Amino acid sequence: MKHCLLFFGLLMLVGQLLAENDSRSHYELSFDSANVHYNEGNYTEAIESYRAIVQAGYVSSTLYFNLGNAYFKTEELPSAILFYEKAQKMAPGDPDIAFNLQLAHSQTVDKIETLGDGTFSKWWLGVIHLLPADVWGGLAIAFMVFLVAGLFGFINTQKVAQKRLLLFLSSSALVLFGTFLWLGLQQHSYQTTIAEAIVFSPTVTIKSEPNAQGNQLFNLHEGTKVALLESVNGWYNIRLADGKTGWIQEQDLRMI
Amino acid sequence: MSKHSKYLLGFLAIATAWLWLLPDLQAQDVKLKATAPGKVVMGSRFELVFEFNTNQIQAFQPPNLNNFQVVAPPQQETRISSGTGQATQLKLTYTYTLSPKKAGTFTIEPAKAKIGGKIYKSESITIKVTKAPAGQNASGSQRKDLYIRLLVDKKKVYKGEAIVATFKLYSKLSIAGSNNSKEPDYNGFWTEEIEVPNMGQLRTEYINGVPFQTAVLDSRVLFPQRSGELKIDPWSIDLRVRIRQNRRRRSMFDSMFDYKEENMTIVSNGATIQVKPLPGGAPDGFDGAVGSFRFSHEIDKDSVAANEGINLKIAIRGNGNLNLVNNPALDFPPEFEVYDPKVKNRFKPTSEGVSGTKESEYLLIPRHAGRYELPAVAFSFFDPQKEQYVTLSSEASSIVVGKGSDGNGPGNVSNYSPNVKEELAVFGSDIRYIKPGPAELKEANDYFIGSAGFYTLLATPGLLFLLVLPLRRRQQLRNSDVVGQRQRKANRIANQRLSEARKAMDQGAKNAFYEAVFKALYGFVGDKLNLPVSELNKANIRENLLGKQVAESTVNELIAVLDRCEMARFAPVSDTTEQAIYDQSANIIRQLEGHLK
Repeated sequence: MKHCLLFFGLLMLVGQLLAENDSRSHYELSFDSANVHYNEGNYTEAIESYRAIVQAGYVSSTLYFNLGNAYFKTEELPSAILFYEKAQKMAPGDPDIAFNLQLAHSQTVDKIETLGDGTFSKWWLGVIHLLPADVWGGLAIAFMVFLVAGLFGFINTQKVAQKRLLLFLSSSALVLFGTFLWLGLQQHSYQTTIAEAIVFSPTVTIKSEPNAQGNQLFNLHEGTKVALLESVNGWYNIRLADGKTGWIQEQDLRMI
Repeated sequence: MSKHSKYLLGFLAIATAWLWLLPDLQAQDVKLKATAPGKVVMGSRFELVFEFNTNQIQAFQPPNLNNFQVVAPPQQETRISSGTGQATQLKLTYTYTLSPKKAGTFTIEPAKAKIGGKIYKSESITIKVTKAPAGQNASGSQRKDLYIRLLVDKKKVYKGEAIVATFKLYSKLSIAGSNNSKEPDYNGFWTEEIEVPNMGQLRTEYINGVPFQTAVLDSRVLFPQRSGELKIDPWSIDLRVRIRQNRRRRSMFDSMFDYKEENMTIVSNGATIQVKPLPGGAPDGFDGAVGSFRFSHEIDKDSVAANEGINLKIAIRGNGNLNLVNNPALDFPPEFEVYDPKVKNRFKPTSEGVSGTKESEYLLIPRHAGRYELPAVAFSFFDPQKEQYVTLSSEASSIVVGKGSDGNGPGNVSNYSPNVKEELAVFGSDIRYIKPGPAELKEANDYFIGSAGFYTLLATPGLLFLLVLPLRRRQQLRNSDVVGQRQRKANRIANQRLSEARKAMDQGAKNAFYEAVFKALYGFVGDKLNLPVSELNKANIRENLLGKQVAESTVNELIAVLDRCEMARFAPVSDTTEQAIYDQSANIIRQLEGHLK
């Protein structure tokens, strides 16, 4: 009886895994057909197909990139920028994404000076995205295992030379474990935190307070990227690349 | 008629002025005489002559000539004759060339003239017009002796469609010469003259059976340049014509004047051309070509070395406004050096329009090795016959350019600037192309890292370590407790030795028996008390055992057994049996075991 239950449980797990795989490959196929639409210049159909994949809960930087391209071709600049940004968030080092994003940004209305050159943060993003977050996590677990094994060996051996070697190995494992765990968690938090948004309203006035009575500070136009600082009652405190801050209503934004 | 009266008035003005200047010749017996043939045939011409014997005419009123067509305006002539034996005679004539309009009998009323304050009248003339004999009936205008006709092949055309306009002279008279020719200026047309063989030479042509001398004065192809009503003006020319005098010879001298030369102004008809604009929906690249064309586009080779020339020939053949046809726009790869084309126009205006070939030869020099596409070329024109636009396309061709022959570099040698690197020519910027995939889709925000499972898995080795550690520690501690171990082992060793003793007893080996018992007890006590062998003597044993609250009787018994064993090893004893010793020893060990746990 017990064995039977276990068997069924396993069967269900395998079935679920297979089903998930199946739907994923289904969307991979619809991704290909969307690419064909794009290549034939049917950008609207391509957008529909790409969006259907996103709506089904599947994402990838490639998908976002292609979707951004399709929006760019239909001259929906804010949407193109939004999806390029999403693609870049998933794959910060990709040169194609960076190129198209830059080209799209150059066609927006607002010209905003960027503070600092951002080289370090770019480098840092590159480092934490060297491997997928879950690979970092797996490495952390592996080095945890090494660390524990080393400590165990250290305790058990009587020979001094062995003890010394094991101590060295375990401490290295500890350092690597910590590094990998940190990198993985950094990437995870970068990917799961919504910190930036794109202005979607053609023109929107930024206020000094999160209410309609606030002073008008400046105007932003569609396609501009803003950093999100805090939110109050459907208003977001935003910061521009040049350091200006102000309040904007949530409906004027789309989160990256 | 008004045209003629205008001529008449002009003539009169000139004539009057002229007459006033002449000397007043003898003017007595003024006579005004009108002469005309009494019988004419329809379509023929005749002259009506008014003759004066004076030049002192103050005013002249011709009769009403409504029943006739005035073919040529009145000619005026003055003659002064000095006949033999006669006084000098002056003769002034007005000569009308008329053509009948219809058959019947008509009377020409008398003409009136005011001469010297008096009014003179001529007699009236009756003319009988008979119908023309069969085969000679045609419209009156063709019955003229001398006229110019404008012949136009089409009156309704599209803008840019060819029209052939020809001016042709028809004459039954002999023409001595011409001057003052006023050609039309063809406003609104692009014109191409047609070369007509023997232009201007007279040929004999029969018009309705009547022989005419004809000559083509001008023939050209006209292309209307704008839509609307375009007029071709009439041609007017002054001709000197020899006209046979329709007079009776009166003397020998008169025969010399049978033919007289007259100046005649001939004005042709004009024409109005309705020019329709080209219909809408012109294809891309349409550049005003109208007609019927064929189009060819060929390159002489499709594989060439860099810096070698390629000839591209574009030929537009056909009939239409070839002179106004431009070559279709060509799109060459930027790596090609393209020279201005050599254009050969081999077309001729003919009576069918302008037809022939317009050929353009381009010299292309590819500067870099590679494979290039020459895009398809489309040539569009409007076909007025089919009334629709036609687009002819050549096929796209590809050219493979090999490396340059002089081998000075990797394929990009330029004849003019060898080994000079070129700036990359950027024609435009566009986003980079989509990524082909695989999409590598994953569920959004589906991370293992940071999940409960991840942390559990991460903690597992540590927890296992913590679990295993105390167990391991206990074992280690036990391993390191030598005394306890000795104590725990003591009983087992003692029992071992006792069993040895028993074996010896059974075999009757007394010495071995006592030794085994001695060792069993001695060792047992030593182990239990954790005493080294050096300190193991009876006094120490007694002291230690008593210190551990072992009953004194047991201690004494132990000492006694040990003494007995010692003694038995060196001297035979008989008062006790080995069995008793054995039992006693076992008993002692049991008791000590109970105490020294």
